[in-house]
Amino acid sequence: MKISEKYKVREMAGQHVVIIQGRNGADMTKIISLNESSLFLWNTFSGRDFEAADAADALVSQYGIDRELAEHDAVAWCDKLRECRLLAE
Amino acid sequence: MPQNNDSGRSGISGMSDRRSLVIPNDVFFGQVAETLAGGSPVTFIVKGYSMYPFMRNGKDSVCLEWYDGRALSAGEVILFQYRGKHVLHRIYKTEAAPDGAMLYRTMGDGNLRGMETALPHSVLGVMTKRITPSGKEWGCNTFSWHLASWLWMRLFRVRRWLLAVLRRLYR
Repeated sequence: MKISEKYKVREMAGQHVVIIQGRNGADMTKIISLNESSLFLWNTFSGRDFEAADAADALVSQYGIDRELAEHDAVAWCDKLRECRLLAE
Repeated sequence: MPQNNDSGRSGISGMSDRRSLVIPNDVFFGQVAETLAGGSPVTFIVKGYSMYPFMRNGKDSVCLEWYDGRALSAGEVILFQYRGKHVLHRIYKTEAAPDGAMLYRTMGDGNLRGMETALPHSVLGVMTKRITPSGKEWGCNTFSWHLASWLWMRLFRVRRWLLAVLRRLYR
């Protein structure tokens, strides 16, 4: 999977956010906020192909957490990307 | 006029974990202006009652496009900067300044008094459609929009009573 290149992270009011591009342009009625670890994963995998296992590896190496927890969080993160339609077609 | 937007509790928010993120107006409209200047239309939920009944506070969204500097007409709804604030109001009158530049006299559809003056360089965007919470769109280039806008402006003298009735019927 790959994060769609049309989405960029912007800083707004101290939050890192992604603004959805809808059929009416930038849809600022739905703004996606990234927390620290989500932003880390976004920056790490932006512009390249990755799998949930790669995201888990990155979490383990960055935060030193259990592999099992990292895999769980990585899968949840990927699911959210898909749900928010942030992945390239 | 803070903007409420969805944001996640943790990780990336989705439809299942919405919450409101209050963004200061200047930050929000700074982002709107930047996006419009980049050529992309912008949609956001209207806050405030000044454009009722065309836009309902916290319910209806507006879609704006970048203002390309063309001469605007009475009846068009514009986002502009006025005395350090961002205002989305309708043009009620157009005038030419002594130097030939256009002046737009604006007012909120839900207001009974008070006009603002917008200069072309202070205009950030022009409204192209209204979207209800159910997703129903009303284009500003449609006959029905033009007719409703024209009527609303013409009925200014009885606006106080129209608003009083509408506020009970159309929320």
